[in-house]
Amino acid sequence: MSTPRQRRIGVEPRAVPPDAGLAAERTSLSWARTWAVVGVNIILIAKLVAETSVFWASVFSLLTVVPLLALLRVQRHHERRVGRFVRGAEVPQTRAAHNVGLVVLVVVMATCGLVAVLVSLSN
Amino acid sequence: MTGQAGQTGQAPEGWRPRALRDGEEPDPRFTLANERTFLAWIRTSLGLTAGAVAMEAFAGDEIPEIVRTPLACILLVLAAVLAIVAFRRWIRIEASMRHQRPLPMPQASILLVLGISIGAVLLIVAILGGTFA
Repeated sequence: MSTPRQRRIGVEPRAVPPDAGLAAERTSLSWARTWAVVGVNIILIAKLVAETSVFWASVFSLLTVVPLLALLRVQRHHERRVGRFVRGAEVPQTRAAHNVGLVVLVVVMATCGLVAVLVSLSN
Repeated sequence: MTGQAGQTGQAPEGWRPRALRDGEEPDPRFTLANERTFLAWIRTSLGLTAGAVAMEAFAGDEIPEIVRTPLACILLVLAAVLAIVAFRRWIRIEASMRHQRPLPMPQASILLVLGISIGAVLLIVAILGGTFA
């Protein structure tokens, strides 16, 4: 009885890769979706704020620069983290500061929206 | 804020709240799952913001101002509160995993359901009250 021919050299067939559940990929996609929704919100709020005054529109446009810079930094850190997980089955803990930043961004955007709604009401 | 070196002596792990410094490091898969759940809550919060802003910016006179403005305000406040609650929940889950404790109940769901229910009831009352006539 002959054994089946091995197709890949050096790969143990029974070995389970550290990221068998594709946790890294799912988390990366989750971040990507979050940034996409942040982008949609920026566009929507910009439309609302632009109707109120030039002052508020310029304040909001300054605020939008921050998430765009944060996006690059958070994304780079995330790629490094999940890279370590895929290769070595270990992952550094989520940066609490990044999550705080994201929450602050959401609160700032909701506040800008609220201010725009109230300003347009008083006009 | 103080930088803290990782346990392996590699890159610094950044600032950590006290709750995330005690106990044992959890399974990496669970940490990533907790992160995804936090991001899902944040997207829910951003969805509420988008809904409120879109209603205010694009609904025009289709929805009367007396209904539109309070509804938008409720949704925007709920979105801000939900984001903060989501962060608190992320920390609590992470702390529970570090001490092998049962995970906390999702209190944010109750908040979300209450907020959306109030918004829906407001809209129904407005429709029945003939504001769209």
